Order: sequence, then structure tokens, then C-alpha cells
Amino acid sequence: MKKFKKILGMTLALTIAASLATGCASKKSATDAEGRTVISIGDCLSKEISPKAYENLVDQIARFEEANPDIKIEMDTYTYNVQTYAAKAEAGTLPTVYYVPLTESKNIMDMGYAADITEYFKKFGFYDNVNDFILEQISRDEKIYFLPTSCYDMGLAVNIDLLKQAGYVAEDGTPHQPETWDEMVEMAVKIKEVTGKNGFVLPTTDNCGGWRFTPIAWSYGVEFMKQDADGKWKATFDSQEMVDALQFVKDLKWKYDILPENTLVKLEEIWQLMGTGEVAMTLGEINQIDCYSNYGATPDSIGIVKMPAGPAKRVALMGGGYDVINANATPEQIEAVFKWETFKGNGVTLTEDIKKSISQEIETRKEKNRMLGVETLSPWKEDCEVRKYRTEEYAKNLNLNINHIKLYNDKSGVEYQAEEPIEAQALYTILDGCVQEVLTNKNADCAELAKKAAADFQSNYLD
Amino acid sequence: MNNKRTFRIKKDIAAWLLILPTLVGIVLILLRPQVQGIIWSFCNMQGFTPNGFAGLDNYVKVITSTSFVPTLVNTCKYVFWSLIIGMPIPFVIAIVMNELLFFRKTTRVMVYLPSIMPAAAVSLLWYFMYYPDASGLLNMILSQFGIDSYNWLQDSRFTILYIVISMTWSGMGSTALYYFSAMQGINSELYEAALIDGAGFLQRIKVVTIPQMSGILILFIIRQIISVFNVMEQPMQMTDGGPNGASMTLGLMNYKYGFVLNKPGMALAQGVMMFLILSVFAFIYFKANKKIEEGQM
Repeated sequence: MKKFKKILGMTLALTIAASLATGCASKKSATDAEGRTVISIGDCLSKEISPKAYENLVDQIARFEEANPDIKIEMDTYTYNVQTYAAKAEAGTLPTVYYVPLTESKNIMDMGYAADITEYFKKFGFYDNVNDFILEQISRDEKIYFLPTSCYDMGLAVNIDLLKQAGYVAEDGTPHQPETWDEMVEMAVKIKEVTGKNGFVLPTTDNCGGWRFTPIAWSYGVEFMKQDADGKWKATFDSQEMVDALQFVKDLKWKYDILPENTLVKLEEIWQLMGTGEVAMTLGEINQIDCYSNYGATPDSIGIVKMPAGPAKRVALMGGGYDVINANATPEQIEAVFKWETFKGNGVTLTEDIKKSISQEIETRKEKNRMLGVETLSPWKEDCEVRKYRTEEYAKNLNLNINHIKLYNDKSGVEYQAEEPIEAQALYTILDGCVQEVLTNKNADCAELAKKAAADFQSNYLD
Repeated sequence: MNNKRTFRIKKDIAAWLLILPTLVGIVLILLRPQVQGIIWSFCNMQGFTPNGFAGLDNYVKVITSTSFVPTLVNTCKYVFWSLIIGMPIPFVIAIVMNELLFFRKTTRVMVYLPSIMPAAAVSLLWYFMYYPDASGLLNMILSQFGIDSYNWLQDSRFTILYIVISMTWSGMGSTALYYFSAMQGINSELYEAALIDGAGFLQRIKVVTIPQMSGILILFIIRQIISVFNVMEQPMQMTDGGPNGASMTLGLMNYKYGFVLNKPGMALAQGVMMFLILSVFAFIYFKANKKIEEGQM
């Protein structure tokens, strides 16, 4: 018994020691031996992956450090990954600043891993230049937590060659704009007849099915949730509009047969299908379309048009990307990050350094065979100097036929809507299931599915 | 007294030093996260930091979730199919290896090869074998016989079965080798006696091999239950739990609660529940193991 107590005592002592050791582990130092403020920046590409981008970044950092001798920048290849994020955040091993997509911003605020940057956001002039809809996304309780870097708005990405074969590209290269979902289906059917390739594809797994289905549903008039007077949220998508939207997706497979055979489709598979010309159309935005080039797409082989309209409206999901500053960052580090962000072109006042950064950004996009000239919504107001300059420079460096993208660039007649205000990921999980069901079960009952999905969302996540 | 104790410590110091790295490893890697996970499952979580006592809230949310029962049933289906397919196949392979007079070593290597592949690679390999259009390997074979392509993983009635087949392919080699080595240990006189009594091949398996191996078979059944009950990687890679939750498992749901839906409290609570269920099997396993070691089984 005594022996057992001894062993137990030792084990507990070790547990406590280990807990303390792990708890105190690996917080990065905020200053170096020379007293400079050290910041680590995430999302740096390695030399092997993109030599030109790497070279540009090294040059940019050298120029920044020369202009700011009290700041030292460390490059970090960390890229946001849902599987490792929380572990790295808890262990204090995240870089000082790193990029996250909009879809994760609410979770990150909930988890408390983003620093309050309100003071610096105002001090560096960002506050006066940021668009109101973005400000809403990056704030909570009047505090600001994210630095917006980009915006996206969804459109209909098209494979120019397949559309051309089916007669849907004008002589000047302008792809046909399907005005409605029905017209898009008509095009997809003809494309399949003429080319033998599938006309349309939707992702359906990893919450991407729900994410992509949301704007389709909005265009049918679906309202997913409402907040009542008591502040409680109610799921409101057990509706005829939802049934119609699901029926539309179901018909893509069973009535029109314009989807690939595989209906458990990951987002990466869409990049491949579009990049290799196996599918003619999908919903997309510039950061996704960029990935098609990994599979051989050239800037001129892809076009983008406006979202087709549903019975209720023409609506595009909009979102963005943000840089997060680590919650453990010191005020000096936060200020240093703002200086860096401003220097690299994410600021609001145009300087020679920013011009140089934008020029390097364009070089990098060219090197990676990515489209230049696609105009997305901007986090910044129209009169923001940097925004205007970037748009002009991109237009000057066009690497494609502008007609391939001009219908998308003309934003008229499109309503933009941000993702649902709460539990968006949970909603996407449930919608993934609905989309999968209608695409794998010919006899799926859309009304029953809508009813169950709304009830599940209410009881599992809103109550 | 003190001198005696000092002497004992000095005497055992080498043993303690030898034990120390393992002990530290057990504490750090096994004990600490388990104890911490159980405690945190009763807490409100902000990210992965506890933020106040929540009582049984997380457990109630998990159990009352409309996806809990279907997911638990699915997980049991994985276990069921893995016992139906995953147990007999390695046993048959082991018998074949045991009966072989030639190429025994080569066969062993061949059988073991799939086991050295990482689970993610196996899932990807089978994902493409099951690919639902004409480019999928299995559909290519079907087309040779004039049969239309089949939507393998998308047939929600059998998605779990198909995933279990891929898991069996991956794991059967190592299990077969265990069975094979157990068969090698069976006293050959028993077979000779059975032969003299006129027992045929199948009869010998029935009256000699199976009874002699009943202990190890029971142990492997329990191990199989424990390991398959935790399955996550394969459905995550092959179907993401779809179509419409048809292949969702408690393990994958746990991952989603923890890393996708930002509900770490629920992930921890569900993890503790799985731990408790599997503790029962672990208890049975150790009891059975003890009996086998004592020669009672």
C-alpha cells in the first residue's frame, strides 16, 4: 500500500510538473538581443514552392527593416489549418500575424485568440477607410479584432474553351451570362451534349456544400434564421423557398444530369475539374479560381460572370480574408504589425513602398499564372488611395482577355450578402447533408429534408 | 531508518532511472490529457481554455443532439461489419499460410504489405477504387462484364460496409500474422490425433484450430471493437461522414465538434462518453487476457 502511495505521489508530482512545464512552454520572445521588436509573419511561401514570391518577400522585409531599424521580422510558413490551429494557439506557437478566411473569424473571436487592435486600427487610418460591412464583420462589442486584407464576392466561374465549343462565347471573348438558374441549366445541358463534359459542379463535403448552397437558397428567397424580440434565434428555413432550392439542386442531377458522377465532392476536386477542363461551370470567387492554375488552368482559359438569379433575387455571397494578430502580442508588436501591413500594401495611404509592394504582388500573381484584372469587392472605401492604385495597376497588367471577366466586374444588379450571422459552420454541416441527400437519393423528399434540417439546426445549435 | 531508506533508494536508483523516461512519457502523453479532458468536459470552454464550471451541460447537449443516436448506431454498424468481415478474413489467410508448404515467407510479406501503408494513403487509394464514374477501378472491372457503373460510397445503405472493407484490407495482414503465429504454437500431435480419427481439413480446423485459438480470437474481437469504435480517419478521408451522415462516426463527430464547429466542450464530453463505453471492453479484455495467461481459456 505504501509503495502504491509513493508511486501515486510521484505520478501526481510529475503530472503537475509536466502541466506547468507545458503551460509555460514556447512563448515567443517579443524582443531580440538588440532590443528590436520581433514579429513573426505567417503564410510565407518557401523558396522551393515559389522562388519569385520568396525573393520578393525577402526584398520587402529587408527594405522594411531598413526603414524601421527597431523592428525585426521573422518569416513563418504557418498557414491557417483548422486541425492544428487551436493546438498552436494554446501552445503559443502561432506567428504574431497570420491570415484567416472570413468563415473562421467568428470562431477565433469566440476562442479569444485575436488581439484587440481597435487603438491601432484608428491610429493608422484604417478605421476611416474601411467599408461598413467589413467593419461589422471584424468587430464585436465595439472592439476590432481583424485587419481586412481582401474581399471576395461569388460569381459563376466558366471554362472558356468548353463554353466556346457549345457556342456560348461571343466573338470578342465575352462568355454568355446566364440570367437565371434555369438558363444556366440550359447552357450546361447543351455543353454536355456538345463536348461530353459535365456542365456544372458543386462541392458537397467539408461544409463547402452548405457554403455554396447558401447563395442559391437566398436567390430562391430562403431566410435561414431570424432573431426574435428576446434576442433568441429561430431557424426559419422550413419553407417552400427552401424546398424549391433543394429541388433545383436535385434536378441538376436527376432531371438534367449535368453533374459529375461523383457527388461527394471536395473543394480541391473542383479546382482539379475546372483546371483540367473536365467541367464547364461552378460557383467561384477569385481566391478559389486562383487554385485552378495549380491544375494547369491559364488566366485566359477561365472566365467569370455574375451569379445567375433565382426566383427571388440575384445574390452573391461575399466574404473576405483577414490578418489576425496573436492575442499574446505586446502593444509594440501590434504597432510593428500595423507598420508592416501598411508597408506591404495593406494600408490606406499610398507611399512609394506600397507601390513597390503592389508591383511585386503583381509579379507574383503572374509567376503563379493567376488572373489579373478580376475586380472583387474591396474592404476599403472607393476613395481609398491604395485601393484605387491597386485596381489601376492590375488593369494595366492584364494577363487575359478582359471580356472574359467584364460581366463579373460590372457589379450592377447583384445583391451582396455576408454569411449567416451565427453558427454558420453548423448550418453548413446540416446543409451539406441536405445537398448530399438530394444528389444521392433519387427519391429524396425535399420538404421532409427542409423540415428536418430546420428542426435539427434549431434544437442542436440555436436552443 | 533513514540510512536504510537511503540504501534502498541507492540500490534501486538504476531501476528508477530506467523507468523514469517511460513514466514521464505516460504522464505527459496519456495521463495528463485524459485527466484534463475529463475535468474540462464539465467546463464552459473558450477555445481550448476552460472558462467556468458548466456541470453536465456539455453531456446534455451531446446526448440530446439529434445526430447523437444515429451516429452511435452508425459506429456500432462499423463495429458489426468489422467483426463480420474483419475477423474471418485474417483467420482464413492465417490458415492458408499455415497450410502452405512453399512460398510461405513470400506470402507473409505480401499479406503484410498493406499494413505498412498509412491510413490516409489507404483511404485515398480506396476512394479512387470506389470512384463512382468509369474511371474508378471497381467500375472498370464491372464494365469488363458489361455492368453499369455503380455509385459505391454514395449508396448510403452500404457506405459503412465499403469503408470497413478498405479498413479490413489495410489491417488484415498484421492480424493474420498474429493468428498465424498462434497456429504455429498449436501442438502438432493434436492434428495427428485428429487425422488418425479420420478428421478432414475443415473438421481439423473445427476441432483443433479454433478451440486452441479461442483465447487469442476473443482478445482480438475485443481489440477490434475498441479500435473500430474510435474510427475517424477513414470516413473523414473517404466520405466526410456522408452521404447525409450515413457514415458518420462518434470519432469523426468528435473531431467536428472540436475543430470545425468550435464546440470543444461537447467534443470533450463525447470523448469521455466514448472512453467510458470502451473502458467496459478494456476491462473485459484484461479479464480475458488474465484468464488466457492462466490457461483457463
